[in-house]
Amino acid sequence: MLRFVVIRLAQLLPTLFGLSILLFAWVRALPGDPAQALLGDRATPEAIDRINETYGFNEPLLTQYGMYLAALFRGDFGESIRMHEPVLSAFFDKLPATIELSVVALAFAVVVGVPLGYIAGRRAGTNVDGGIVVLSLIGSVVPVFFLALLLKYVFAIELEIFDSVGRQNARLDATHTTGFYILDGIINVQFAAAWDAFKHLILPGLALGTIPLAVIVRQTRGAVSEVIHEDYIRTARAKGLRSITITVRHVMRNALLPVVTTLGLQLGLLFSGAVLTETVFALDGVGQYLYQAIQDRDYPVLQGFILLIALLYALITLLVDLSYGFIDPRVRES
Amino acid sequence: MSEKKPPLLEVDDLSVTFSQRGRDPVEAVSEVSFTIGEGENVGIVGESGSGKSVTSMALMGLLPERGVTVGGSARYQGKDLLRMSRRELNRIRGTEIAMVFQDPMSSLNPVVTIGTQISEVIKRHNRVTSKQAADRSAELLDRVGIPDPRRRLSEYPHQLSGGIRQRVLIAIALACEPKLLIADEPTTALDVTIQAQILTQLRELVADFGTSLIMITHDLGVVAGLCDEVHVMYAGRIVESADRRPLFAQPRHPYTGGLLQSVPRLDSPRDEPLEPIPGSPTDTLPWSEGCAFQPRCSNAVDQCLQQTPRLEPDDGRLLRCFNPLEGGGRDR
Amino acid sequence: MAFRTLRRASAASVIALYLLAVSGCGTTDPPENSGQPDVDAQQECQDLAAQVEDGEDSADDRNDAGGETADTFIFGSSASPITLNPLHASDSDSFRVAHQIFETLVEAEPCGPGPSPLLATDWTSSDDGKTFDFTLRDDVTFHDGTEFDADVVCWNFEHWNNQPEGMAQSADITYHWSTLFKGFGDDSIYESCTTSGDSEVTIELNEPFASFVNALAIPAFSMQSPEALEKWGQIEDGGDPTATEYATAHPTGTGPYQFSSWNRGTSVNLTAFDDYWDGPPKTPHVTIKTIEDPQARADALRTGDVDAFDLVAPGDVPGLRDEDFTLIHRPSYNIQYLGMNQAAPPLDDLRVRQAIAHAIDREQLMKSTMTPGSEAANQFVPPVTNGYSDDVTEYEYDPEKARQLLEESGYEDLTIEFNYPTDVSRPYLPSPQDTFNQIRNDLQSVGITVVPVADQWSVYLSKIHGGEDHGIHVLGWTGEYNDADSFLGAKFSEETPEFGFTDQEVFDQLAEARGLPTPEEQEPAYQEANEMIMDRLPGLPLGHGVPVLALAPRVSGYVPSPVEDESWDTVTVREE
Repeated sequence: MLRFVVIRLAQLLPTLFGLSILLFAWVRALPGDPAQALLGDRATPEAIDRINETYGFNEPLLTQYGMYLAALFRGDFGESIRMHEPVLSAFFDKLPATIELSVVALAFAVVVGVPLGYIAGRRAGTNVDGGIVVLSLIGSVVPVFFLALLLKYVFAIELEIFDSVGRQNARLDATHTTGFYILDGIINVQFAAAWDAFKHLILPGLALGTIPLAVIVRQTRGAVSEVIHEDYIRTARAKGLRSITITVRHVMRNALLPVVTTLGLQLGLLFSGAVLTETVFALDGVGQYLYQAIQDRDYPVLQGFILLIALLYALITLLVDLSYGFIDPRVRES
Repeated sequence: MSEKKPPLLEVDDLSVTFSQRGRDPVEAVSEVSFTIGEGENVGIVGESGSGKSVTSMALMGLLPERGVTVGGSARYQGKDLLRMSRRELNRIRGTEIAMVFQDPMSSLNPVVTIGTQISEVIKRHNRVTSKQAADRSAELLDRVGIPDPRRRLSEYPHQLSGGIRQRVLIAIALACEPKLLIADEPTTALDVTIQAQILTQLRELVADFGTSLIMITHDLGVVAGLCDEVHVMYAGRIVESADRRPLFAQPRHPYTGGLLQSVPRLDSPRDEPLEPIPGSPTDTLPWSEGCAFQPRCSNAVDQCLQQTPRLEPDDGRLLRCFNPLEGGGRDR
Repeated sequence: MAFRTLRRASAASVIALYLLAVSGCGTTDPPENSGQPDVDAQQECQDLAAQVEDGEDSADDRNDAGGETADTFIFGSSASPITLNPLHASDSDSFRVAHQIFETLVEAEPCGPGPSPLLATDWTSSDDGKTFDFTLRDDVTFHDGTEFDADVVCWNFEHWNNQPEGMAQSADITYHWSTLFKGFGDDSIYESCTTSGDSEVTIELNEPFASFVNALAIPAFSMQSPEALEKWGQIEDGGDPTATEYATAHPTGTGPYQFSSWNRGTSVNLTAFDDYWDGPPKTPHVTIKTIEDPQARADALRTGDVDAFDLVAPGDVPGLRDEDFTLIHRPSYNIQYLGMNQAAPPLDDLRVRQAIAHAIDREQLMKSTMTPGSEAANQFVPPVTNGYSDDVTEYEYDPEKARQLLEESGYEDLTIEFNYPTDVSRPYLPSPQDTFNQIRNDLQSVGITVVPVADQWSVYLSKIHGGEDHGIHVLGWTGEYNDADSFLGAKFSEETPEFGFTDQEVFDQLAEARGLPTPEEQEPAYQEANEMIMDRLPGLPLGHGVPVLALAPRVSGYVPSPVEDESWDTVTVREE
C-alpha cells in the first residue's frame, strides 16, 4: 500500500507542474491587470508602472515564471497583491469555512439522497421513481447561486428563521481554536456558539447540497435497482430476515459501495459551487476569497489557490482510493 | 407408492403465471401437486425451463410480487404458504423451511463475513447472544465438513473455494434445524468431484437432523442415491411421479426414459453413443394444444396433438402420457 | 411511458420557472424615482452634529425610556481592511478602522472637508507656504501608555519620510505620502521638523504646499506610537510593511478605541480606550464585520447581524427607508463626470463635446440613478472646495441646442463608443449600468448612436487609462481633503490618455496654482482654472454623489463626514 501511495504522489507532480504553467499563463491572459485593479480610479500611468516594477510584472514571462517556480519549491506561494497576505496562510485560514460548508452540504445530500435513491431504486420504472429523479434534478438544473438567494430570501429575510450572513453571530464572542467553528464550540465547551455556527450553515449547505444530491440519488437508485435483483438478496429473503435487516446489511452495504467511492469526487464539484454560495451568504471561505481575487486580478492568489485546490482534490481522491480496501473486502488482498 | 408418513407439505394444483406488459402471459408452472412427509426426500427433476426452480421459489415466497400470479395451494402444517402474510412467512422461512441455492458465489453477500451471514439467521429466529450465535455458527461449519471453522467466521465469500461456499449455504439453511429443506441445484455449479462430496454430506445431514428434503435438479444421477420419490417435470407440469426404484428400473414417460438414457455412466461400454433427447426445451407445444413434449417424443401418436394428457395414476405411479414406454428400457 | 413524460414536463417547468424569475433581473431601463424625498445632506449633517454636540442624542432619552445600551456596535464593511497601519493603506476599509484607533493632528470639520483641531489645538502657516507651526493638545496618551508630545510628532514625520526602499515606498502602499510629498528622503518636499518644548512643533517644507494642514486630516498621517513601532514595526529590507506585527496585531494610536483582535477576512474587533483624552467612548466594543456581497450587507442589517453599513445602493434606499431604517447622507465630496476622449474624432471638435453636454439632463440623471441628495455638477470640484467658481460656463439641458450644434459641426449622425464599468460600485457612481442607460437614452434622443462597451472594472480602467482606443466614458473621483488640486491635479495637469487633452494653458494654470503658498492665494487661481476647464470641456461634470449609510433605528449618535472622517465614540446602540 505504501508503494501505491508513493506512486500516486509521484504521478501527481507532473500534473501539478503542468497546472502551474497553465495557471500562470491563464491569469496573465485575462484582460485587465492587477496594478490597475489595485489603484482603481487613482491609477496614473506612472503609478501603474511603479507597481509593475515593484512586483516584477515588467520582467519577461519566463523570468517571472522561473522566480515563481523557485519560490514554490521553497513553499512560498507569494502574497496577495491586494491584501498583502501570504497566499498559503490565507488559504489555510479560509479553508475551514469551505470544508465545513462542503461537509454540511455533502451530509445533507447523503442524508436526503440515499433514502430517496433507495426508494426510487426499489420502485424503478414507477411514477414514484420518475418523480424522485426529477426532484433530484433541481440541483443540476437550477444554478446554485439562484437557489442560495432564494433560500436566503425566503427563510432568512422573510420568515426570519435563520440568520442570513456570516459564519457566526459576532456578538457571541466565541473562541476559535481550529477555525472550524462548530468544532471550536464543542472543544471550548461553548455549545451555544457551536449550535449557532451550525445554524448558519443550514441554508448554504442546503443550497450547495443540491449539486451532489442529484448524483447521489441517481447512483443510489441505479445501484439499488441492480442489487435487489442479486442472488444474495434472494438468499436473505429465504432466511426470513426482517426487511430492515435485508435493506441495511444486504442491499445498502453493497449498493452504497459505488456511491461512497464517488463522495470524494463530489467534493470537487462542491468547490465550484462553493464560490458563489459563500458569496451569497458571506461565508469567509476559499470560494469567496477566490471570487474577490478574480475581480482584483490577484495573480498570486489565483495561481496559488487553484493549485492548492487541485492538490487537495488529488489528495482526496487518493484517500478515497485507499479507502476502497476498507470498504470493500474483496479489494483488500490486492 | 410407498406408505406415506404424516404429510409435512401438501402442494395442490400449484400454478405460476408471469405476465409482462405488452406480452402474452406465460404459464411457467401448472397443475403441480405433490406431498412430502416428515423425514422424506423428494426429487424434482427436469431440464432448465421445466419450471422446477419456479416451483421451489413459489413455495418459499421468493417470486417477485409484480407481474406474477400464483395459484393453487401449498399447505405446510395446515397453513397455506401461498396465502400467508409476509410476517407469518418470515417466521417460517429460514427456520422451518429453508433453501439452498444453486450458485454459491452469487448467493452469498460479498461484503459481509461468513460468520455474520450464518448467525443472522440464528439470531433472527432465536433469542441468543452474539457469542452464542457465533459458537453455533462454528459448530455448523464443522458439521458440514469445513475445516478450521472458527477462522472461516471472519472470512469473506471470495476467500473460499466453491465447495466450501456451498457447504456454507447448507450450513445457513440448516442453522435453525428446519423441518423442510429445499435444495435447488446445489451442486450444478461445482466440480464433479466436489459434487459427490456435497451430496453425500447433504444426505447425511438431512438424515441426522431429520429434515425432509426436496432436491431439485436436472441430473437424474443426483436423485438416484438420494431421493425416495421422484417427480419429473416438463414444460411446467409434472409428467411422471414415482418411487425411486420403479422409476429408474422402468421409466414410463418417454421424457423420463430420454433423461435416463442421456446420463453417461461409468460402467457403460466405451463406444456406446450417448443418446440425448432430440430437440431442445424450446421445442415445446403449449399444453393447451396437446402434449408439450410431442415435438421431441419418439413415442408420439396422433392423440398427442389433439388432446392434453392428464396426470393419472398408472400402476403405482402417476403418469401424464398417452403412449408411455413399455417394459424394455434399460436395466438400471 | 407516462412517467417519462412526467419527467420531461417537470424538468421543463422547472427551467421555465427559473427563466421567469431571472428575467426580472438586469433591467435595461433606469429605475424610476419612486417619490424620493428631497434631501439636503448638508443640513441633515449639521443637525446630527448639533445633536451630538449638545449631548442631546437620544441615548439619554432612551435610557429614560427604560432601554439599556448594547455592549457592541457592529458595522458591516464591504471589504476586509488590508492593514491596520494607516500609513501603508489607502483603502476606505483600512481607514475606517484607523479612524477609531488613531488620530491626526487635525481632523475634518463637522460636515465639511476643512480642518478642525484634534491633536493640534492651533496652528499657523507662513506666507510662503513652507513653514507650519502647531500647538499640541496636552494630556494625550497612546494606548500603550506612552505620552503624545512634540517629539512624537517629529518622530512620526521622520519615520514617514524615511520609509525603507522597496514595497514600503510603493505607490499602492504609501500612496498618500508619495503623492502629496512627492517622494522620500531627499526627494520629498518634507524638509525638517523641530520642537519647542512639549507642545510646540514646527514643520518645514522645501516647496510651498498651501493645503498642507488640510491634508494632515488624512488617516495616513495619523500619529502612531514610536515605542510600539520600534518594538513591532520593523520592516525587513524590501519586505512587506503591511505584514509587520505592528500592522496586524499592535496598531497603537491615541484614538477612542484600541485594537482587540483581527480575524482576517471576517472581522476586526476593537475595545474602548478608557484613558482617551476626551473620555471613554459611549459603546465599549466595536466590531467591523466584512460582508462582501452588497445584497448580503443589506440583509445583514435587516436581520440584525450588523447595526450599520455603508454605501447603500440607490435601488435599496426606498426599501430600507420603508422598513424604518435610519438613512444618513454624507454631504457630498466627490465628482462624477463623463470623460470625452479627444484622441478619438470627432470628440476633438469642441462643438461635439458641447452638444453632448447640452444633451444630458443632469438633474434627471441624479434623481433617477443616484442616492437622494445627489446634485448635478457644473464643474469638476464640489461646491465646498476652495477654488470653486461661481462663474463657470454652464451647459443647460437643451436637446434642441444639442442637435443644432451637431448639425453645425456636420455630425448629425454621430456614432460613438461609450465605455463603462460593470460590477463595481463607487461613491460617485453607485450603479454604472443605470447611469449608462440614462445617458445613452439622452444621447440617442438627439440623434447620437451609442455603441456600448462594457467591461469589468480593472479591464475598463486599463482601457481608459492605458490607450487611445475609447470614446466617452463615465468615471469620477472622491476627494480626501480640501484642495482643488486633489480633483484637478490628477486629471488636468498634463496630457493623459483618459482625455487626450493637450491644452498647455490649463496645465500651466494648474501648476501655477499648485505652487501658491496659501489657500487664500490659491482660490482665485483655481477658480480661473475651473473656468478654463469648463470652457474647453475635456469632460462633462455630471454630479456629486451622496454616499448613504444605513443604520438600524436603535443606533444613535452617528455623525457623518464627507471625507469619511467618522469616529464612533459618540455612537450608542440601544439594547433590544
